[in-house]
Amino acid sequence: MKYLLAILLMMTLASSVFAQSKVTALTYDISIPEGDMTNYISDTAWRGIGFDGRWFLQGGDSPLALGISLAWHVFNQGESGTIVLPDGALTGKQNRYINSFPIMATAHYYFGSKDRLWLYAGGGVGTYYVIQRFEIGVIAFEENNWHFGVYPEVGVHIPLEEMDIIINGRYNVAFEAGESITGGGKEWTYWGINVGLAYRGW
Amino acid sequence: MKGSTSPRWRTVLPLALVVFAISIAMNFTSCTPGSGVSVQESDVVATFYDTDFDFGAVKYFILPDTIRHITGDPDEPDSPDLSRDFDHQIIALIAANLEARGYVPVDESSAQEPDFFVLVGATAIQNYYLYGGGYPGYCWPGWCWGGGWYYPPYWGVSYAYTTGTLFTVMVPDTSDIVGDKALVHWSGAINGVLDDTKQSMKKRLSNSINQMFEQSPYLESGQ
Repeated sequence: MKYLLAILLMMTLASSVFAQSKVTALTYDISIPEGDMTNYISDTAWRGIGFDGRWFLQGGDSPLALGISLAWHVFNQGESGTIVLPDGALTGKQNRYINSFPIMATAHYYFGSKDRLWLYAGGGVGTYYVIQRFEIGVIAFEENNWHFGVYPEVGVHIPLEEMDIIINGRYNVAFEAGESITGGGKEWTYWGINVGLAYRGW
Repeated sequence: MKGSTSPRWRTVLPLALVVFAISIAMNFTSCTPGSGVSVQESDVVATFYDTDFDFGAVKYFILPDTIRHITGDPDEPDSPDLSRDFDHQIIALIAANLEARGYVPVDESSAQEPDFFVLVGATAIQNYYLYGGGYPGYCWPGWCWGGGWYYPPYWGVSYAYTTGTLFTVMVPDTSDIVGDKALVHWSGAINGVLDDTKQSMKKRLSNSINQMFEQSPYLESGQ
């Protein structure tokens, strides 16, 4: 049984066999729509998962860490009532969805001591794969687009005995790309509040 | 500590698995949580209109007492998926809504010429959904497109349902009919699942037809 749990842990944390000075984090992500995105979905997304892998430069002596970040955020909102169009109207039970998959290269700068509250600031740059889906009655419309995107981030590690609790905040910006369901390109912006566990590979 | 065994797996693993389990449970259950509608929730009412047309300048209309089934076969007037049980209710409700907005029905024998015609049609589509587990490609029972395969035992989901659409169009007068095409200044469409009880269908039709006119406030005769 303990060998099975060990394999599960390795799969969960995706520990690297190369770098020794690294942080691997798995988080539960909460996402809050902002700006024009709220015209389509305004409800907070309570479904989200994130993975971060960070490798400190200079063998761990540098406060600067480069890495990758992957996540999956699910926005959904039910609506009823009438949508007024320029030349008509549409009424029916609506389900609106956004599935956002950020795939980012990251850079973070750490402040202070890693044995106490360990603060950091940084961000990511990369791409967001966004699936926008609109259902009304039994009819569905869907558009999928790759967006160039960025996010600034601040966070903190709260050290435990073997791992850290990690808490961070991000402002996700997926720049306009492709065609949205309503026609024309669409930019998606949302806040992220992420909480989870970070393992330090020292 | 010297000589001690690190309790790494015991302290770390449960916490990591809790985070992982919560995230997986909330995410991987569905990309579209809450999707799916009941038969009664499947109704969609859509209306479109010519924004340059003056609906207040017309008054008299002809509404045939027949609903045309669009079957794709000109020799087959009745669709096997559509019932004629609701025809009278549909025609009466459309007429009542138009009259409530100041429009006056006339018939072909009347001396009063109509300003527009209201035509009602319906169509039905049978929908089949079949999904089988397998990689890669999409699988039917026993074989897969693209050379895929599936884990035994075979698993999959299949269901079928029939959807119907009721069309109502306003064609102002015969001068707007050119060949087999007519200029439509207002149209309403109701779409929904037909697999329902008669009682429920009556109620849904009534609600949807009324909604069709409720979301068309410009439909008002000024005469």
